[in-house]
Amino acid sequence: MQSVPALEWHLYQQMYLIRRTEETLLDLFSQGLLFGTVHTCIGQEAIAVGVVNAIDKSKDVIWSNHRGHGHFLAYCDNIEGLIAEVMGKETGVCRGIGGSQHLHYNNFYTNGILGGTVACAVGSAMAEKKKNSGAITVVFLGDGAMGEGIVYESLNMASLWKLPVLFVLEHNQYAQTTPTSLAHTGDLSNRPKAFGIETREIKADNVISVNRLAQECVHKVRTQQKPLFITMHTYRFAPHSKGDDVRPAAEIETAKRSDPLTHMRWALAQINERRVASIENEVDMRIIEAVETVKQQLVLAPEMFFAGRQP
Amino acid sequence: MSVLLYAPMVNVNEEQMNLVEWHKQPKEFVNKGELLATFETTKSTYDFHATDPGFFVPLVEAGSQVTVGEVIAALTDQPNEDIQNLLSVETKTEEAKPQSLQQTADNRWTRKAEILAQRHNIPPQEMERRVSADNRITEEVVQAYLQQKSTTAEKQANQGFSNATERILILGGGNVACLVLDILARIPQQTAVAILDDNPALQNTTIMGVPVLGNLDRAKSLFDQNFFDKAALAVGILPTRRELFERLTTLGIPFVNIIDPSAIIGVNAGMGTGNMIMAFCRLGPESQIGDNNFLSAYVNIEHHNKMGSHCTFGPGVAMSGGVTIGSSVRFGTGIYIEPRLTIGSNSVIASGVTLTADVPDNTVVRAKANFHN
Amino acid sequence: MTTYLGSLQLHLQQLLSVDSTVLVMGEDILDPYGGAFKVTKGLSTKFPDRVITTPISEAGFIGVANGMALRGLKPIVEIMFGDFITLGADQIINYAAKFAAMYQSALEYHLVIRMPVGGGRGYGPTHSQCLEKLFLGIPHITILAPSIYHDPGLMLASAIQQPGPVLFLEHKLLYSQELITPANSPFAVNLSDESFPLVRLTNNTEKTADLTLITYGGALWLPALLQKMAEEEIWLDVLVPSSLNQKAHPTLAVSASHTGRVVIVEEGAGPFGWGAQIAYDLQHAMLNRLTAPIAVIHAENTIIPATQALEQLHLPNLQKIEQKIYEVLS
Ligand SMILES: Cc1ncc(C[n+]2csc(CCOP(=O)(O)OP(=O)(O)O)c2C)c(N)n1
Ligand SMILES: [Mg+2]
Repeated sequence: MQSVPALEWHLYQQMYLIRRTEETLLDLFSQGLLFGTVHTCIGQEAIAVGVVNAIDKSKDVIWSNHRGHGHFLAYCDNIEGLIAEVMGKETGVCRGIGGSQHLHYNNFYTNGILGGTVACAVGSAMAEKKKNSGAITVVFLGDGAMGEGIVYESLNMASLWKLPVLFVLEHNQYAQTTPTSLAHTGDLSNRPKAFGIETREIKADNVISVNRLAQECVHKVRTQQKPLFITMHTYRFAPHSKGDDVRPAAEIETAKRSDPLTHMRWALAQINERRVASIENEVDMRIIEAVETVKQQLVLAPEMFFAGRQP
Repeated sequence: MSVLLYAPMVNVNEEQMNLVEWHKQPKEFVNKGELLATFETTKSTYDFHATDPGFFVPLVEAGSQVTVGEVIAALTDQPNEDIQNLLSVETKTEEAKPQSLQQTADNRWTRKAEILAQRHNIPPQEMERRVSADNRITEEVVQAYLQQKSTTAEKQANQGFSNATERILILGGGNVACLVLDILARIPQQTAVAILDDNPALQNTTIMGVPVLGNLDRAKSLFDQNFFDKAALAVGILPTRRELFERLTTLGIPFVNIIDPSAIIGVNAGMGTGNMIMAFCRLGPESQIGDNNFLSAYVNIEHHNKMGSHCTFGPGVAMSGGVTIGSSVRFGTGIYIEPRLTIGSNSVIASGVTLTADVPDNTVVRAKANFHN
Repeated sequence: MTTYLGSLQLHLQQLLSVDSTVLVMGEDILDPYGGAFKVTKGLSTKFPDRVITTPISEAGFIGVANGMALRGLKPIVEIMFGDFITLGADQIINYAAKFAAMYQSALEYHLVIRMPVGGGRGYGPTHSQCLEKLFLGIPHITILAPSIYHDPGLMLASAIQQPGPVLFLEHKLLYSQELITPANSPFAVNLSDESFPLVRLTNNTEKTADLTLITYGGALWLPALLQKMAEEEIWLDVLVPSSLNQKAHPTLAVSASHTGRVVIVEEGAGPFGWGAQIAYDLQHAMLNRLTAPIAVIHAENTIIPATQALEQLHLPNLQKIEQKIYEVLS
C-alpha cells in the first residue's frame, strides 16, 4: 500500500466535511428549520481548504465574505458553532446574531457587505505588522466584489505600505446571476499588477496543488512583507444561495466533471478505500449529531441581546 | 410750547416705515389727540395722533420712508413760527450724545418689557410715559405698572413669565407624587412647579417632567421667594403626612386640595385644605371633612358625614350616610361602613372589614371577626 | 490661553506619547504641512511611525482603520473635511458600528474619526456641511461635538478610550478661537463631570431663566447672544451637550420644566435632525408642561451657498436665533 501524507487525508476530510455540512444546511433550509439565507461554496471547497491549511492558524488573520462557511470550517472545524449560528441559536459562534454572513471566531472575520472586508484586511495586516506579530492576513473575495472601488483603494494601500496580505480571488465566473462578461472588462487577475502587486493564477480543482501554491504564497507574503494576489478559477455547483440559479444546466454539468472533492476521493480511494469510507462515516456522524444537538438549543434570550441596546 | 414730532416705533422689529398720509394741511391747527398721520409697516398700519395742540408743520412728505425716531413734523404755538430753534436744539442734543437718535429709540424698550406688555395687552403709550431713569422701558417698569392695577388673578400672571395657574409645590417624590402629578396633568388651573424630597438620589432629576429641587426644608424659602402658591403632600403614610402638614402649616405654608376631575363633590359638601382626592371618589351632599385627608380611588363618603383631619383611605372604602369619623384614622382597602356609626380618632380599620358598630378612639379593628361591640 | 486647535494638538501629542497603540491617519497630515487645519502639526516629526499619510481613499483608509482597531490598535483618523465622510459611510455603519454587537463578542475596539465640519468660511456646498444627522440614530456610534466651552483635546483623549467607533466633530470656525472657561467667561459656565460634559451657561445667575436654549458644536454666536439677551433682560439657560447620538440629557428636561420654553439650534440643514429628536424627548419628559411649542432652528433646507452673504443667511445666525427667542417668549 502506498503511503499518503497525513496532510492529504486531512485536506480531503475537510473538503468532505464542508461539502456535507453545506448540503445539510440546504436540507435544513428546505425543511424550514433554517431561517434566513445561506451561500454555499459547494464546488469551491479546494480553495477554502487549500488556502486555510497553508496559514498559521494560531496567529494569521482571515477575512471572508458572504460565502464563508468553507473558510470558517477549514479554519476552526467548529461544525456545531456554525450550524447553531446559521440556525440562530445562542450557542452559535456569534450567538445567532450574526448569522451565516457575519461570523467571527478567534482571528476569523466575515461581513455581508462586499468589498469593505478587503480594506479591513489591509488594516489588520497593518496592525499585525506594527505589532511585529509575524502574522499575515488572508482575504477571500469574489469576482463580483472586484467591482467595488474600495478593493482598489485597498490594493493600493497594501502595496504602498508593504503589508503582508494575501488576496484570494475566488473567480467562479458569476456574481449572483451575472456572468463576469456582463460586469467586468479586461482580465481581473491582471488588475493588481497595476498596483505593483505580484499575482498568481490557478485552476482550483485540485486541493493539493491549491495548497502547495498557497503555502508558497503565504511564505512569500510573510517573509517579504508585501501583498500577493492569487486568482483561483473555480465554479460553484449549487445556486448562489437557494433556488436562484439561472445558469444553463449543461454548463453546470460540465463544470461538475472537475469537482475537486470527487477528484481527490477517487485518488485516495485508489490507495485506501476503507480509510476514505471511515473518514466520511465519521464526518457524517459528527454532522448528524451536531444537527440533533443544535435543534435542542435555544435562541438567545431577548433580555440578553437587548441589554446591549443603547438607551 | 412748540414741539417736534418723531416717527414712532410701531413694530419693534422694524426701523423703517412708510408715512402713508398726513391728515392735516400745513399750518392747520391740530388739537391734542387728533388723527395726524398714518404709517404703514410690513405688518400693519398705524394711526398717529397729535401729542400736543399746535399749528401743523410737516417736515417730511407723505409717501416717504421714515426711520423710527426721525423728526417728521412740528406743532407750533404760533402760526408761521420759525422752527429753526427747535431743530437746532434737536441737532445739538444729537451731537452731544454720540448715540444716534434712532438707536435710542430702538433701545427704549427692552424685549422683555415689550413682550410682557404684549402678553398683558398693555397699550404701548401707557408705558411710554413711565420710562425708567436711563430712558428705558424695562421689565421693572412694566411690572410696576401691572402691580398697580392688578387683581389677584393678574398678580399670579405677573410673576415673570409664569402662567396664570396656581403653582403647586409637591412634597415627596415617591410613588404618590406620580399619582398627584397625574391628576395635576388633567387640571389646567393647577401646575406642579417642583418637587421636594429628602432622598439625595432624586435631586436634579425630573419626575414626569417636574424637577426635584432639594429636600423638604427648602419649602419655606421657596415660598418666601414666591416660587409657588400652595403645597401638596405626596405622602401616603399617616404619621408622616400629619407631621409634615402641621410643621409646614406652622411655617405659614398654605396647602391645596388636589381633586381628581373624575371625583364628585356633592351639594353643600365641604372640606378644609390639603386633602388629596383621587379618581372616582365621592363626597356626598352636606358632608364635611377637615384637612390633609388622603382618599385613594373609589372612596365614597356618603351624605351628611363628618370627618376630622389626617385620615388615610385605601381604595374602595364605602360608607353610608350620617357617619362620624375622628382624626388620624387609617382605613385599609375595601371597607364598608354602616349608617350613622361613629369611628374614633387614631383608630385603624383593616382591609376588608364591614363595620356594623361604633369604634372607640385608639382601636384597631381586624379583618377576621367583623367588629361587634 | 489655549485655543481649540492648541488643545487638540496638545492632547494628540500626549496621546501618542503615553499609548503606543494610538496612531493617526489621514490625508496630508505630515509635517511640515500638518493637515488641512493643522491639527496634526508637529506630530509626524515626533512620531514618524505612527502618523500615516494616506491616499485619497476615505472608504479605504477608514476600512484600514477598522481592521487595525479590530486587531488591538487605536487609530485616530482624520477626514480632511467632514463632508467626505459620505465616502466612508459603509465602513462606519456596516462595519465599525456593528462589529461588537454582530459578532456578540467583547471586542476591545477603539476608533476615532475626527473631522472638521460646518460653514461660515465660504467653502461652498461640499466643504461646509454638518452631516452628522446621517449617522445619528445609528446604534453603537458615539458622536461627539466639543464646543468652544468644552476642552476638545480632553474629549479626544476620552474618545479614544470609548468602546466602539466615535465620530468627532470639530467645527472649523472654532480652531482659531480661544477656549471659553469658567475662569475667562463673562457669563456663568458650568460643565457636568461626565467625560463628554454638558455645558450650562446663563446670562443671569440670580433670576429664573425665561427660556432654555439648546445647541451643540460650532455655535460661535453664543457669547454675543448671551450678551444681547442680557441687554434685553431675557435670561437664558443655555445647554450645550457634547455627545449627540443619545437621548436628551436629563438636565435638558430639568431646565425646560423650569422655563417651559425651549429653542433648539443646530447647524445641519433642514428637518429630521438632532433638534427634532431632542424636541421629541423633551416633549415626552414634560407631558403638557410646555408653555410654548419647542422651536428648532437649523440651516435652510437647501445646499450651502459659497457666497458669503447668502451663506450667512443660510446658516443659523444671531438674528435668526434672536427673533425665534422673541417669538417663543411672546
Ligand atoms: C455591497 C454589496 N452589494 C451587493 C450585495 C449583494 N450580493 C451578495 S453576494 C453577491 C454576488 C457576489 O458575487 P461574487 O463577489 O462573485 O461572489 P460569489 O457569490 O460568486 O462567491 C451580491 C450581488 C452585497 N452583499 N454587498
Ligand atoms: Mg463570483
